[in-house]
Amino acid sequence: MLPPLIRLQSVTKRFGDGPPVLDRVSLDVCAGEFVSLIGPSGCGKSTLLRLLSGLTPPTSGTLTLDGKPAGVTDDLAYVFQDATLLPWLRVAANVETLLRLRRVPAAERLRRRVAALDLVRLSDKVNAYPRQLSGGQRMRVSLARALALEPRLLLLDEPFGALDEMTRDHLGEELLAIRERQRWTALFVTHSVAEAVFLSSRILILSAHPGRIAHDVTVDLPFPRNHQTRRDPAYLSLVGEVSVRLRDVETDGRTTAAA
Amino acid sequence: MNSRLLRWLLPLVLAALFIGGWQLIHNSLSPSRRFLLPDFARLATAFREHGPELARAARYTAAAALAGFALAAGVAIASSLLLASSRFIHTALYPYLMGLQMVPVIIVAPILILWVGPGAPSVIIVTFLISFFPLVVNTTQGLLSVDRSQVDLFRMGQASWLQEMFLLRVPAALPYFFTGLRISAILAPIGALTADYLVGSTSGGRSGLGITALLFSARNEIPALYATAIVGCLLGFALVSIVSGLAWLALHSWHDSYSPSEK
Repeated sequence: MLPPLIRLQSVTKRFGDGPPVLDRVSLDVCAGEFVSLIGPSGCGKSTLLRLLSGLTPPTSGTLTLDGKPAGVTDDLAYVFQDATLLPWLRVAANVETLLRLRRVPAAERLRRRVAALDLVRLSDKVNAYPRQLSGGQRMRVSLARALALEPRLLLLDEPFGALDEMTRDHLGEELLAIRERQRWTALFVTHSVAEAVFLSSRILILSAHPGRIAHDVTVDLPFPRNHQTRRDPAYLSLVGEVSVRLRDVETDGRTTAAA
Repeated sequence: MNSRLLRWLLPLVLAALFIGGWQLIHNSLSPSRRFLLPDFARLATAFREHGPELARAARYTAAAALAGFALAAGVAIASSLLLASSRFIHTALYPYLMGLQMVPVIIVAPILILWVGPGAPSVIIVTFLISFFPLVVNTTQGLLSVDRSQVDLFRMGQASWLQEMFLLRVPAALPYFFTGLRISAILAPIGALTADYLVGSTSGGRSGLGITALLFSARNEIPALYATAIVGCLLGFALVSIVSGLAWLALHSWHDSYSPSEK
């Protein structure tokens, strides 16, 4: 059997002298999984992504990516909650930014940029500046910038959180369609249960103070999924189940805090 | 009425009101005091009489203002990069840069004359002192005001220090830089004029608007003084226009402050 792509062993993270944001979290994620992280605020779901991306080191425990210590690597791309495009660059240059930092030759940059913009269906906006795009389009450019890295692991930190529900649903469907063509593994932080169930093969429900994995839910809905899936009774019952568990986690958190 | 026409018409109407008001005040003064606010015919005469002299002085002051301004911009860019590159340098150096702005020019002027002598170098130094601060403050602020997640993006992209500085911080600081540049463009001609007044050379043909004003004032030539003031204003407008043009070139295609109005 293949070793897991991501392995966390008893990872604890605290900032300064504060209480642990993540408390002895252990987790294996296999290649090809789409894992959503959901939980009350303060449960450390974004911190988990930052640890994996090497932006901040763990206080204790080990994180490995493909058997190697996690850190800044070429195999990983990060999508932020806001699009974080550079407003002074056109779409083309924005998509190429990270490739340029890695000194990828121009011809290869061009090939990957064209492919990535094609994936997010924004090839016609290649010469636009970010301010000329809608919120959803900006997020798609941001996604294209991550995909242009041809990553094995995609870390998404509430990427659709600031968008309206229609745009959010569309982008979710597009994300899955892209994944049919490019097999990356995803860790996806979200506040939306419906979004988590729709996108994921697995959902981790985290509890807060301290952050721990409270539930590990397998989503055994078949891929490919599309807008029909949202009416599937199995989908709906999973949304219900995850919602109840999430609520339990949040209530527990409050009881503990009160005690 | 369409807004384009209005944009041209409004300033013209205002100018007419201003000139009319001026003339009205002039006429309402008792004849013995009318010299305080000369009428436009007299102003025109002053411009005709002193035209070549004013033009020479204006050229001199403009050159000094530009030189001081360019020096301020250059030094400000270099020191901002330095200040933004390390918190340590920032903490150590910032109070002293602020001190530069607090130098009381009037008191330093005689010292400067002793050191450098009266004339262009002194004028340029004073202009530099006056226009440097807004530039360095704004540019440093801009270099440090980069969005946190954009910095994270660059860190994750394994960006080198140079890449983070010149591909991220410098372009992000451009709007701030131009804000500083605009303020300094207003200050530089005033600075050069004042500097000329304080540390300018009085030797023939190498004096600027400050010395010229001093001479007119000594000779009680009030209309000529007004003319000098107007020339000084025009210099300021010219420099501000140039800077606005540069800002437009650098920012209009992407920055929100230039986005087309929503209709």
